[in-house]
Amino acid sequence: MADSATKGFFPDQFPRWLALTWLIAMPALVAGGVSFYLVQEAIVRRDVESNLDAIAQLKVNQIVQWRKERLDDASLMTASTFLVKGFLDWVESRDPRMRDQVLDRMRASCLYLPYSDVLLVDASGQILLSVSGREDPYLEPHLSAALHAARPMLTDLRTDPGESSVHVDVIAPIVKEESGKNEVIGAIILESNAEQFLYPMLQTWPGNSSTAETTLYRRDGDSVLFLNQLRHQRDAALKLRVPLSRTEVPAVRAVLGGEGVIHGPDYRGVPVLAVVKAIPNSSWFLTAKMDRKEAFSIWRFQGVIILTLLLGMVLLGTAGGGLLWRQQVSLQRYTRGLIEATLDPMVTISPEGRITDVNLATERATGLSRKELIGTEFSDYFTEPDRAREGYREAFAKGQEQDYPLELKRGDGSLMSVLYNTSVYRDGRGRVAGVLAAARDISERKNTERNLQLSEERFRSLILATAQIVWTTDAEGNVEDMPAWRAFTGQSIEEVRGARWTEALHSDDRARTLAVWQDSVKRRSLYDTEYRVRRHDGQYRYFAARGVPLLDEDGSIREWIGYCADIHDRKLAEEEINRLNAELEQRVLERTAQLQAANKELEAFAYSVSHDLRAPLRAIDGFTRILREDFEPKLDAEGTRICSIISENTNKMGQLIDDLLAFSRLGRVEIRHSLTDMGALVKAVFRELSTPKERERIDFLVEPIPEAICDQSLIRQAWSNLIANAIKFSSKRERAVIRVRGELADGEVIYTVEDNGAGFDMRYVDKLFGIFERLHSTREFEGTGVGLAIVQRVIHRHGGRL
Amino acid sequence: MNDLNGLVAVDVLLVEDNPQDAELIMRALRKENLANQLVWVEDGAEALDFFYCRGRFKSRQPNASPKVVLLDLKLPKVSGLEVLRTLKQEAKTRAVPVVIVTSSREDPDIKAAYALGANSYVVKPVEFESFAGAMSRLGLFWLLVNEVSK
Repeated sequence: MADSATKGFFPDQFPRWLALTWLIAMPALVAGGVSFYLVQEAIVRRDVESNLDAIAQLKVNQIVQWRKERLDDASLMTASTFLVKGFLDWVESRDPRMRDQVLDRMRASCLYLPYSDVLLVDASGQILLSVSGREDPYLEPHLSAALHAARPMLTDLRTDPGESSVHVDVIAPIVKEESGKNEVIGAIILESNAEQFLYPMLQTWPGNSSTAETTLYRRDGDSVLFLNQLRHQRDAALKLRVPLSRTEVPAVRAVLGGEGVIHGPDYRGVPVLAVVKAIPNSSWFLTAKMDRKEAFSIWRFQGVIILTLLLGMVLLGTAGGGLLWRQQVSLQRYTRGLIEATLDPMVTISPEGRITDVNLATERATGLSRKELIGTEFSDYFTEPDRAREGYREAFAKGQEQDYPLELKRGDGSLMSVLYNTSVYRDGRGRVAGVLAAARDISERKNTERNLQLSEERFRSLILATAQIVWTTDAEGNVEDMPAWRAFTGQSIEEVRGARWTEALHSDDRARTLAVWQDSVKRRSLYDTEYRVRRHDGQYRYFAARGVPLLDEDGSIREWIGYCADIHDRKLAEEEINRLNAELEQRVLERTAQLQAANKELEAFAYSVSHDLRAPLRAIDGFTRILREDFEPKLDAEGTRICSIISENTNKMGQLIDDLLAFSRLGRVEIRHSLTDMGALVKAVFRELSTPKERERIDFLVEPIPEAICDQSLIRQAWSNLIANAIKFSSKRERAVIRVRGELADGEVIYTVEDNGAGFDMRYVDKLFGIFERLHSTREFEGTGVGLAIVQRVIHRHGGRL
Repeated sequence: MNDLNGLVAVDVLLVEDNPQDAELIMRALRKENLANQLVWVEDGAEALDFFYCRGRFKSRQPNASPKVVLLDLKLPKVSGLEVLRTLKQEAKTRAVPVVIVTSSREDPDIKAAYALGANSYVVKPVEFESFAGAMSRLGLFWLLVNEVSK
């Protein structure tokens, strides 16, 4: 049982029926071919043989006829009274006239009958008369016998001594009746030259043949003597002999009593097909023969064709069978491939409920191999074996079963929901051989269904739980119903249908909202707007509405779905924020204006300070000079010194005013940022500030320092002050070193200027950057005390520290 | 000095409200012999009167333009910039060189003065020597070297 099903699934071995067919067909074909060949050969042979036989018979008849004619001729002559009487008369009378008359008569026979010579001999064999004029004794061994027989007789083929021609004689005894007693007194001898009539008659062959011939022979002692000239051997007549011991030669067989068709070598030893016949009333035998080669030449050709055809048919049959098999195999493999490729577990089940075959999917599903599965009870693999068997029985009864739900136990213990589709399959005789069952794994589908259901439930709960209004419309944007909307606005179902829901909107928002909605529907794009909606109690509340089109597989809009959210409180809060922001903005503007005004005032103040403070200074200085110039003679040394002190102080005062002005300006100028190469800047500043002499004295070292984004002119001012300080405070050193460094640290760039000059007491570091603060006396180092304050201001304005 | 205003051609018109500054300037110019024909007015209004020959200068010869005007910007009544604007607007006075005299290099009005057509500026140095030197150079230049187009 397993076998038959397996064969359905595994057809790779050579199908038995095909092999059987081949086994039967091939020998039959060969036998038929061979027998056809043999029959054909027999037909051909018979044909050739009958042809030969007919020819042989024809020749025999001709020879018999010829011999009879010769004997008849002789009888006629001996019956001729004139000849016999004349002869007798001449014998008695010796009358030459008689002799001439007789001789004339004999000559006539030679002329009109086929004789080469006519002789008259006496009883002793002496030639009395001859047409040819021969007078020698007639040496024929059988003469006396012939004479005694008293009737004409044919001699054998013979050659007279001294002659070469072969001839056959008829000896016709001449009988003289005297007193009632017959006395043979002599004989007429009719001599026929064989070359003239007999041989040509034998040599002629009906039809065209290259080897056929007729031979005439007789037994001569213990050999066969050939009597006629042969086709394949010259000068054989009466000379060629074949010993009787060569019984395979047809001629030998003939003289030994054989007759009919004989196969064997002829006198040459060449195999021939021969028909031998004895010539009646003579010692002669005749063979009509043909070389086998020629006789069967046509047959050989036909035979080759037949054998070739046969071979061809055998090959064709084999090839056809092979081809059929291969096709069958590939078809089966293809079918099997499909079965193996399918993800549905498939089994065939015998009528007894045993698994007879499975596909790969079944192996995978059960976790068992094909070998393990085949032969086992199929229902064992289901959670409900009884139901499985019931389904099987139904399939058996009805012929098929569709979507029969079962649960398959997987190899790992999990379950697989399947739908079974089964149908019976039949054997060659149409009997039900089993059931083919294909299972469809619907676990995934079930899972999906459950997920879908869950998702939908979740979706529904979400909608219910949300405070928002969820809505749907058809593809054209027409509302069917919005229950939540109706609950909020108090509109009836008719009042929301289509686009009438907009009637619940604030009149200021209605046209715009409708336009936005229609535009979205037209452009099939996101709908997103805000509007005010009248609540059932008449209060207008802000809503945000959003909607998206849901597309079908073909890209067309199936429906719109969206929500409307009450954003009233948020909106109010937003408005409050906006208002506050605006207020703040306004306040900032005011403050800025105030600040700007203050700045301007400060600027004016600074200007007027510098301007107005300078005027008295100029006066003091100028008039002190005048004093010194115009009243020099009246001034003593002390007076001159005092004048100098006044001038010095006015100059210092002027410098202070300038520095103060510069310092105050720093707070006002706008900062313009640009990428600055600090290294180059530092070097340039140093060159600018230092005299050549100072440069000799000072080692100015600038390490590679990072670039910075800053206001170049301000930073230049800062560097300038720092480096000037460094130069200034190191001026008392014989060898001064100023080192500028820079490094990145924690997102800051730290620049350092270091000198080996006077330094300062760290206790007063707080005072260092105050305006007009000085840590050294003017006597030690010049300065107004503004430099570092300027540096600090610059750095602070860049958001840095010092 | 004032008496001569109407009769003699004027070389320098000094517009300076601070009498000390004015004295110092005039002294410096005098040292260089450049202040021979100098008229000093103390505010912008007077300066304009000078050019329009009114008030104090009613009798002044209108055609006799000064060779140079030394103009302080910070003036009572009419400011220096006003005076400058008026001069540079009038075809008659446009050609007269105007040198701004200021007390500070930082004066924001210097820019404005240039824009209005001032020919030069000098900072009134506190130090008398440099002030006098500057004035002398200026005076020499305008009075001796430069031919004023008429």
